[in-house]
Amino acid sequence: MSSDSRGCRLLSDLNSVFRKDPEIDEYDFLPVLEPKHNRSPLILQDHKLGLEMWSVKILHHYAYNTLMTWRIKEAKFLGPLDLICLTRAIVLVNPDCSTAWNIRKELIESGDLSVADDLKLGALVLGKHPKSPETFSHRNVQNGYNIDPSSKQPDFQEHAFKELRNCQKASDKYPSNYNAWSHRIWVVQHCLNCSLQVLFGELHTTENWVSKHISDHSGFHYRQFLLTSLQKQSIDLKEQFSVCYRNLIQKELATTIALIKCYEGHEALWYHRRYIFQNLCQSYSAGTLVELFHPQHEYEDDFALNISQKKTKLENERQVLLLKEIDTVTKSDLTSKDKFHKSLAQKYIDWIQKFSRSLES
Amino acid sequence: MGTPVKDVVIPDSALRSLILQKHCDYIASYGTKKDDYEYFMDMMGQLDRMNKDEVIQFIQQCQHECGGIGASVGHDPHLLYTLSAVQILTLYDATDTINVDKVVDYVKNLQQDDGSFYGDKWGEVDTRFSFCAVACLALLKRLDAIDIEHAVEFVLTCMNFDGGFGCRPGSESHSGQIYCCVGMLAIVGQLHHINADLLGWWLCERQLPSGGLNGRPEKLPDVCYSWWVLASLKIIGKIHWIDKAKLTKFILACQDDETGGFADRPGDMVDPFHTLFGIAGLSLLGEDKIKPVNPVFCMPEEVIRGNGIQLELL
Repeated sequence: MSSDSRGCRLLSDLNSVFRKDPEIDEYDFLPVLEPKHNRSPLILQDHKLGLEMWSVKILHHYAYNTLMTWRIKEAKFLGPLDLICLTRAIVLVNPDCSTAWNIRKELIESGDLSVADDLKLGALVLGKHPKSPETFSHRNVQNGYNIDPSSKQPDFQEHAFKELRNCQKASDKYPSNYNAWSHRIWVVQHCLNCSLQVLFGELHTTENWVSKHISDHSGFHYRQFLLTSLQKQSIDLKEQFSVCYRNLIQKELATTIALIKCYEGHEALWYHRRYIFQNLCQSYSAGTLVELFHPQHEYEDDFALNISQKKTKLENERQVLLLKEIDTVTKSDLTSKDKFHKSLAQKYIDWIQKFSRSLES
Repeated sequence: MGTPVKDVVIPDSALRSLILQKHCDYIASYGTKKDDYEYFMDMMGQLDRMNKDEVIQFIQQCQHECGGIGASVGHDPHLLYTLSAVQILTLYDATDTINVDKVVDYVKNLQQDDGSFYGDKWGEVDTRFSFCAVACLALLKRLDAIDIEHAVEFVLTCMNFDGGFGCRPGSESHSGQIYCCVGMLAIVGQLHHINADLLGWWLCERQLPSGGLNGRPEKLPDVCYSWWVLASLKIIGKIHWIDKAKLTKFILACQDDETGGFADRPGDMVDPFHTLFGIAGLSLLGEDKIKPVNPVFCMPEEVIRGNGIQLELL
């Protein structure tokens, strides 16, 4: 059989597998390097699809060439259904073919493909290729349709929460998954409007996750994003949830110190601690700002005096915080037998000292 | 017991000198069938081994009606490939072989009200695209076509407390994104917005005991970061903060003495991508067999100067 007719056959096998089971939730390539039996190399069981390795290249080659010759307008007409099937075959094998994803965007715009079906395929692809940049880029655009209120679908919020779970899965599969975490941040910002409830919920759900992924700086960075976003809404946080932001950040410090104690020598944890330190310093100055706009004294002279007193008080508070941090680290970490841990601790001290000096100047 | 640092060990058998001719042969054997291999053939002084006319014709075929350029014939246009194409044509002094006005319009139309850039008409935003847009227009000497003030404002909203930059506001600092943001600010003369001490600190912490650089905390070292981290350090005037000898040793150990080319790490498979960044990194480190590279455009310094592009580095 020529490889073209073989490819054509494989594509129609793939299509019938997806027709038979639209709920396929996982796929992978099986280490079968050449055809052994006279049967289809696609194996379907319990919603899992296996493709024998030898067939993958032939399938991709056929689908890709067919699609590209059509795209360059050198080939016969292809209908929407053909295009949906061809692009599916391509992105399952090579998820970073942006042109294939773009054709799917066009099919959505023309109403030939539903956003839900397309997002489902993307989620399936991420199961095998958890950091694929083009898959995330495509999802970014797809979810973007939900930002515009005029095109918002009634179940957009449900979509957004599903998207957060997809990001979670991709982060489970690939450590420090930059694309997955950046996309998750984007969904919280643009599809869920950084609402206090969502930020709070995410802070809660990731707490356990980061304590099990102590080397995953992207996970800690996500918490930094959540905390910064909560800090920006600290007044509403107090009014609506009776939560004081400074307590949240103090709690984060305590948890991080506990993790550093349990797991020595992890840069990600020390970097997170740097964030917490500078955020605590900032929360002192942010506190002043609020108070400055609500002067309690009526006389201007008193007011000016009050500001300068408060400034001094804050500087003192920051100084106390710095000394306390240095003291804690010196006592518990600089005495460690692990050389690398000790060097991380020393670098932390150097960094917070430098940071504090930069605030003074 | 100590925690092992995430790093590699350079084997004693690793190469310690530069096998330049093998790298030229390796790249030349790739032919001109795809794209992108021209800049470093020039840096290695062997640009004449590529077929100029074929390369130009290929790029012409990749330009779309909208002005944007795709990765290959039949692929959709995108800012990423539009910049690559403009870089290649600049090397050949042949930007007039494509429709430059349309390229400028394409880039201009991708800018948004907040100053950010879409990568293509579909609307993904990323600081990489801000760099592509500005670098592309700088090479074409048409920076006046976009709103630079807003473009800078957007990039600055992506700065983090550690002095680094991410792909969008709120995203994690990443060496590749830092290179794009710092490079973008260098082109438009706005480097004073950067906290060079803080950022330099973060970038230097990317160097691991093996000498190699990683792109983010607790990631493995990789030759491509010899470019992104090192070029950023060069732009902000802190390149002397890292151990150059150790980094040179790491990069040289990533060469394959049989096939030519560089891999991401010692012992891995080579590819053109890591070969470009290995060569460019060695150039920044002062290797005299390679032409000096411009840290912003990743192109030979003489080409950038010859085009009258002035950059003020810190």
